[in-house]
Amino acid sequence: MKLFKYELKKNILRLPVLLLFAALILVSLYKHNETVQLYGTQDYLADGPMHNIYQAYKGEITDEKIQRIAAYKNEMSAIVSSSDFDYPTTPDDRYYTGFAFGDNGSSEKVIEEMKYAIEYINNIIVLREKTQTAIAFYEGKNDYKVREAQQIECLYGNRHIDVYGNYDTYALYFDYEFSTFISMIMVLFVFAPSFSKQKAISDDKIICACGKVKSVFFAKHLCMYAFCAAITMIMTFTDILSFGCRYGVEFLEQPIYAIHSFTYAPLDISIFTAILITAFMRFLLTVFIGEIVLLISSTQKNIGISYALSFCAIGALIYLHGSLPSQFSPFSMICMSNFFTDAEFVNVLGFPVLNIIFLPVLTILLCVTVNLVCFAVACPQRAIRLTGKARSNAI
Amino acid sequence: MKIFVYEMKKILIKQYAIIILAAVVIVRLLSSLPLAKQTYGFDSATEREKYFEIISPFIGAVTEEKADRADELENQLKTASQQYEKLIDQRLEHKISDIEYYEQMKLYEPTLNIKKQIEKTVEQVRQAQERQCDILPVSYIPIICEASADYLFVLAICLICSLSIITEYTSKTRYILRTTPAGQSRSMAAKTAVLLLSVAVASVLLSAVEGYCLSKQLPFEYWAYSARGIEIMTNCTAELSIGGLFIQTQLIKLVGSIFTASVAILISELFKSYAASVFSLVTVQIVVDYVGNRSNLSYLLPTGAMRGYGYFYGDVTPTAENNYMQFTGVPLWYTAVLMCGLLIFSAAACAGTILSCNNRLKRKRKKIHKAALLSTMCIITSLLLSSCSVANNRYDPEDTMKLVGGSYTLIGEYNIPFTNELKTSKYKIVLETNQSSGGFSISLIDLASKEKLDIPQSYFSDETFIHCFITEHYILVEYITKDGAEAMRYYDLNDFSTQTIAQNTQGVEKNLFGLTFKDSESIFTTSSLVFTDDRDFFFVTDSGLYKVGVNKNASLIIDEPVTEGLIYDAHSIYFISEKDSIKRYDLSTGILSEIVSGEKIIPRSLWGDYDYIYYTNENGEQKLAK
Repeated sequence: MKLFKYELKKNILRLPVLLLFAALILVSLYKHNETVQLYGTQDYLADGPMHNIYQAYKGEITDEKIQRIAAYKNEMSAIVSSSDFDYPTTPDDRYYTGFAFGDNGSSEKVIEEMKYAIEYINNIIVLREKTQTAIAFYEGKNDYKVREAQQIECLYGNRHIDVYGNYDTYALYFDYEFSTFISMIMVLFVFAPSFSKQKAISDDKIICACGKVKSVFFAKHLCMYAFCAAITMIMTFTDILSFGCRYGVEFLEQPIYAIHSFTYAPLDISIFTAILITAFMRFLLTVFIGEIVLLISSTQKNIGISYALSFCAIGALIYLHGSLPSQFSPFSMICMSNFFTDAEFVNVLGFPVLNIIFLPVLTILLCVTVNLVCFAVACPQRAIRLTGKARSNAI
Repeated sequence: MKIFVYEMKKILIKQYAIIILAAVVIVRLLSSLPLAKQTYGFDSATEREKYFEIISPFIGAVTEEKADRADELENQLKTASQQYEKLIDQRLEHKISDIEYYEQMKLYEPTLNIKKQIEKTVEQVRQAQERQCDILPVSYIPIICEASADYLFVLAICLICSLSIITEYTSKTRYILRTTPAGQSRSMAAKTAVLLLSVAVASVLLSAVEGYCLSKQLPFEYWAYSARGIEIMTNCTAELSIGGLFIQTQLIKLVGSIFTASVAILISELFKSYAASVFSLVTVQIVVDYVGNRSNLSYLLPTGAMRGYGYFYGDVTPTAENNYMQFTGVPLWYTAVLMCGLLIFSAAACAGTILSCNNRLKRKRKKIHKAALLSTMCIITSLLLSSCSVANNRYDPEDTMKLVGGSYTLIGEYNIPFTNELKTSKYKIVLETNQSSGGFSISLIDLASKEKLDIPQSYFSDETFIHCFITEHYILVEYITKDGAEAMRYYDLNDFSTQTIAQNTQGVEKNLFGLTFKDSESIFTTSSLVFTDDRDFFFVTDSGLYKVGVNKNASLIIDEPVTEGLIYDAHSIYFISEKDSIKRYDLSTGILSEIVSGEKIIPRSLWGDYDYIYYTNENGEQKLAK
């Protein structure tokens, strides 16, 4: 525990680290703004035409609300299509948007959103019917396809949406990649000199003589995991709060498929759970990067070269990501929305495994492998033997 | 000199700078080689050969003869396609036998087989005519236009600079140097010279690799041709040849490399930290490129120099209908100022670093303390960055449209169709499109007061924007409504009143400036609109040609169906009448006269320039003096 605290102080709790992190968060906030402008629905922003009507109708979809909005839409439609209607230029407080024609459009949008929620179950019924057809078709021909269809049938059962809400905060969050990029940069900055610095100032010999090679190794790794977890959590909070400032943070308990782009999300989970899963996967990716950086650091005596090689390694992995199938590249976890748009399976010994489950498992295996290699490099047998001798001498 | 040679040996060999830089050059060479192949945009070698065969006589400046030849080719293709369709119809209707069909097809097959090549050639000739540039056998964007920073090179520069400076600091050599008169500063001067020289040589080598790849894509004989001949460089504001463009871009990259090297030297000397020199510089380059890519911020900052070609993309890009223009590039004056700034910064950084190394043993010690050096460099940097930000926030009336994210900023400038006269209004019109929903909204910015005036009725959250016609007096927006109908909306810029003037919903009554229509056809599309230089505009319906005047009321001025091709030349409107004749409507006198009759005129073939009207009949394209 002492070593862990010491490593924490030495590597993470330093002014340059905090300054860099603050600067990158500021850049990320700028990027959030750009993302909202580019990909967000401007209508739901505080000054957007949908804002007021949304506040009036959001929440659970009830018969009363449906009737009320339908009546309002008809009323607005009648006003706009009447022959004496002229487009006014000054807003009227009686209307949500200030204008009858504005309310005509926005009420229609509310109806459409409610329609999506109500009719969602029909889409799922159609999908299940198609799956049953697929099962019947593949029966006796292709066992894997049958299993896959059965899984789909199982995954897409008993789904419904009961709430009308705006989910732009989450849709933007799931698509946002820059946070992962920041985490990667931070891990590289903090851990590239970790072992190298030790070697450069001959600390490694002292550690070896004290018989703390393994302890230091584990403390460093523990420190890296803690850092990755902390940074992922902070970035997740920043993203959600930043997007949430514009669109609001609500309906976290609603299912992930309430978001339009995730109609066919493979898992029947709430948005909150999806955010946790996303954060976990980003954490895994950051840990994977951290393991590689520590491995490089353990081989180099010069911090500059350690930085350079870490940059090259990450660059090469990103380059490789383009040519590898997405199911086998941990870098697919940079953008999480891919996992929620469709049910993608990986054929593991004839059994379909969801990509959202397969990839984290693969990444964990890769992390363990890199960790073992790093252990072999940073704690060679000679050093461990010396550790043993030191202990026996102490006894 | 001795110390220079010694430092050179030390940096290049002992500190592996030569290996690092050679690796960068080799990686660039290996990654560029697959690109160094001209494909002319065709899949197979045969297709490419055919294309080259066709384009060869056209290469170079556009002449009337070449334009005529291109027209001939186009007509030949058009005739072959028509005959081919006719033959298919005849075969389907059993008017000809299969044998006759195949025999007659043999006549048109050779032309149809090279359809793609002919179309490409004709397109290039037309574009070259329009843009007043040379015709080149380039049908895709060559390597010359790749505007991405070589991060590996940036990394290598930072690494070799910091290694050579910091290694000495951490070793015992510094004690020896400190006790030698001017030893430290001389050593630093030699180091700086060696580092800058090696970086410059590496940059030149990388340029040579790029030049080699370009020569494979575009043989040297075309390097003297205008750079505007290359698709992406069409709007290059400088009069540059391809060779000139290549050299200037490489010079910018060279300046960028020297700047990066001097910053790395300075930071290494000041902070003695790899995190500050290697990590921070590479990270800044990557983050700026990533974040600032869309709004050209990356070109406006000093890091942009490592990207090169983007500085010559040009200021304006005419969009689909030539109705508005798009700002995509960095002004040339800005590029020149930035380059000078970078060179001054590099010189100041190197001089400051060398002078700061003067030690106490030198008699006339210049008192340059690290703190003073740091603050001076901070001031120079902030000046450089503030000039960048000033340039970024500038308003240049010549940039008629600025692409910022998904927002189109239009200014009240428009080309009068046909005559291409540019008109300027007093408003900057901001048309913001939402990329996710396709919706759009319009607001105006008063150029005098800089006030933003929202047009409240211009929120279209679900509609898809198609076109926007802007004149001094009104904006006309064509869009697709949620139910898929095409609609138009009119915004009067004098009183900001607005009205939907047409919506082609089937079977529904439509109101158009007081006229009521009920038909299943589109009332009009942008292709049937004509704008005059006063407040009038004209449009075509099935009933005839209508004029909309200041009072926004439409009046029928030509009571006969107008088939196709409405063109306008500031004095008259020309159109193809249903009776296979071309008619002219004089805008000043209101007299309608028939200028061509008794010929079978091909629909949509009417077009014109300042002096002539062109149309195509059975005998090919005809030219008619106005």
